[in-house]
Amino acid sequence: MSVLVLATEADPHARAVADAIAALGGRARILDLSRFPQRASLTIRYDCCGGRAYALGDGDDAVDLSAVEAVWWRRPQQPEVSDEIIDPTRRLFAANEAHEALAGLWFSLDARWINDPAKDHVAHRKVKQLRVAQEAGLRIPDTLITSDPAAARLFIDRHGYRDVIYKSFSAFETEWRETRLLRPEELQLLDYVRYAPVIFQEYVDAVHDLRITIVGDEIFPAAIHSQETEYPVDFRMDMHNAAIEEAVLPAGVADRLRDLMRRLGLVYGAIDMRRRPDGEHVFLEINPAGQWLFVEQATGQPIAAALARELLVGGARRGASEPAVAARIA
Amino acid sequence: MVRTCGTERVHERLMREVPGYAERRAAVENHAWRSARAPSAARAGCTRIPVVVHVVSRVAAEDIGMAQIESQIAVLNADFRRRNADRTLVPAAFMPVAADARIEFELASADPSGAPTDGVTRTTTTVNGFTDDDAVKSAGTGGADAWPADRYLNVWVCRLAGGLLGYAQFPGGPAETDGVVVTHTAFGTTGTAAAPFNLGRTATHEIGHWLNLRHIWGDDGTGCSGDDFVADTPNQAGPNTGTPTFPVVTCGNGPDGDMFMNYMDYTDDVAMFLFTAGQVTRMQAALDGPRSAIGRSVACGTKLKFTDEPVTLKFRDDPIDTLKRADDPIATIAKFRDDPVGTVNKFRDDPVGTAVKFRDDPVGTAAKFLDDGGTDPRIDPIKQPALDKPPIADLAKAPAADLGGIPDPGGPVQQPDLGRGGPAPFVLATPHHSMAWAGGEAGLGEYEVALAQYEEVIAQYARAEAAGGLGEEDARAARELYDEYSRLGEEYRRLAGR
Repeated sequence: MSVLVLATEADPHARAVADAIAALGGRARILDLSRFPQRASLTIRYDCCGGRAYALGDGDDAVDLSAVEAVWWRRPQQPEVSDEIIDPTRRLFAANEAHEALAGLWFSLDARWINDPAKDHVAHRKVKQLRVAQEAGLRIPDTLITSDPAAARLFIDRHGYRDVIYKSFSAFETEWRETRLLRPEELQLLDYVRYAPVIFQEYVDAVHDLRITIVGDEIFPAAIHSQETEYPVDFRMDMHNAAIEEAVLPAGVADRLRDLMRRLGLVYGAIDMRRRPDGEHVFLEINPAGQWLFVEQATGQPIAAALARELLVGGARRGASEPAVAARIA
Repeated sequence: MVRTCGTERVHERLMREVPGYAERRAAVENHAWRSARAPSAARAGCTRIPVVVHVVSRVAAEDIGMAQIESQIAVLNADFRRRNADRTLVPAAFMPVAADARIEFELASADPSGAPTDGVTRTTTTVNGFTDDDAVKSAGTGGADAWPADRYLNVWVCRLAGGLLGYAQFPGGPAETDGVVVTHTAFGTTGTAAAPFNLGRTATHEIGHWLNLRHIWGDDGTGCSGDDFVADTPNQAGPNTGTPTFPVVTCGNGPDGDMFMNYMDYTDDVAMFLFTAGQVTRMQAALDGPRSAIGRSVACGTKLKFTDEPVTLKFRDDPIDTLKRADDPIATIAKFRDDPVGTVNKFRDDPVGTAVKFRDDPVGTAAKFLDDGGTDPRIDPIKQPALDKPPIADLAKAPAADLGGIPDPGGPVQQPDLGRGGPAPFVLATPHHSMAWAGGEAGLGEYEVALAQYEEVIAQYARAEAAGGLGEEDARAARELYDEYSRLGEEYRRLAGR
């Protein structure tokens, strides 16, 4: 047992990496944490004299976590509280207990991480990302995050509403919003900003969007030709009509992105940028658990293989011979 | 055979027996009265309500089949959307007040625990004929327990004794008995449904009660003082039965007389075919007030549905091609005890614990965090890691953009609506701008096709009118068509963000 992948079993990304690991002679297990505690039990044992055991699961299928060399923190699911518990307080309690036990477990494993859960947690925060990007010398859009309608109006007036986008931190299955340019009808609704903070940013004109996937020291830049789609503001909305091809980053930008990764303590990151008509590269955000299959399928960039290598041998570079890898696993 | 409905008797029993019912009914009525005076489109568009049908049977004949159940749902979707074929039979005098109730029904697809369901429960009983005593609504008395009444419309189908066709519970009653009961021989249009109550109108009538409609004659026997609290239904003496001939004048309501073709009278199924605008206001007020939790807002598409199905982004390369799975070694996956089928990761129903308080702090004190109502400051504050959310759960989806794929845009987005759920945060208060997700374009396309068809027919009417060949009936049909066309156009513009 060498690599543990925390994701849903149907996650194609998890499958692709499990396959790539198998191709290198390693073994990966995919674990869906929403099975815990109802359909997978957790056992953690310490004894007086240095003995330790960590197991998740039941019977023959239990995963011996002590033997795990690397964990991919891909899309860890929330523990699922049994529907038998109805009282909200008891449900919250059960959820918290499950969460606490698991969180402690993750921090206790002697494993390589992609990404370290604590660093992943911090790196997911958009507010933090922008600050670190600033510090790394990346160009970012003029940004205002506020729940004060007056501050929002001031920002919008300064930029002109036609050049301001707004977006949210969160997304729910039922209430999802793409990044959007402000329109006059939305200006009427600005008072609603006081109910929840909103991210306002100057609109960044684009020749094309960039999705830069970084795995360890390897960097896979791809251009997403979003401007030819139905919705140039947010490439995700009409992705199936967006041409995606390998791109070349100016050396300075690539260096600053590596610096950003280092500052955030991330091994893996999927970075969204825009290339302006004047050639400037503007950083939008980094997704520590971002998707990459769509890039690999479009460009052929070997991201799954890079992740598999990173998980198996931690920072082995391209050119590490496969027998060496196999020996390491044996 | 005469239609009988036990709703009023049940209402009287609840008034006598259930503490608080009378007060709640008064509140419901006050709300309905205010809504009638100042109609607010709190639920713009249509409301789609999930239905669970509890089939309670003693003998095989009473265990009605899916076809009979689906035929009833189809009738409800026609009657409550004014798409019933016999709507054209409404006398000209009442045509102006005939209205679309803007309510749709669907068999529930998820049970209260979130597991998939066909929206039907089946229970065998030893009871030979239930009455209006609510015994059918409880497993302990030979019936089936209700599903949560704030999420489902419960419909019990069983054999009712003594010629009772059905009964309903008005809004404001106990949740465990909320819903409607219909005898199986008056349910749907096939199977055991028997004339003259075989067109599904009993359920239409009872669900009218469930949405706070009264009998049209005002439940005062045959007097003229009873009121159904709806202004656009004529005052009438008592119930009409069978298939009356227009007009039936009572209580000095000539020349047009009773509105005996209203769903809330007692005529045969073939003889009732309208709700009025006033009744729709009352029903919508019930949805806006005492039944505000139930159902979801959907577009009032005419003859077409806007995609409500979850949308997943498609990429040019189908991942299935690159990642062959069929022959996957099972060993890759950590398998545990069998999952119950279709358990959904439902989680964040948890109440938020201690909140940070600012605005209510007494002036002059510093901003207080964890204003915790007397918690011992020496004890660590309560941890709420469950609220520390990890990335959005990836619910088994095709690879998509970040945030675990593009979730279902959920059809048309309503403007912030102060009637239900209070104001929306800014981002949610604004409609989607992009119609570029899969299905969105198709949805718009469907609208465009439908609008073009409407325009063509309207143009034909216009030509006929110019040629002087448009009868009164046709002119009315044209006006109706134009109204539907306008509404559709409005929806289209909202969806398209234009």
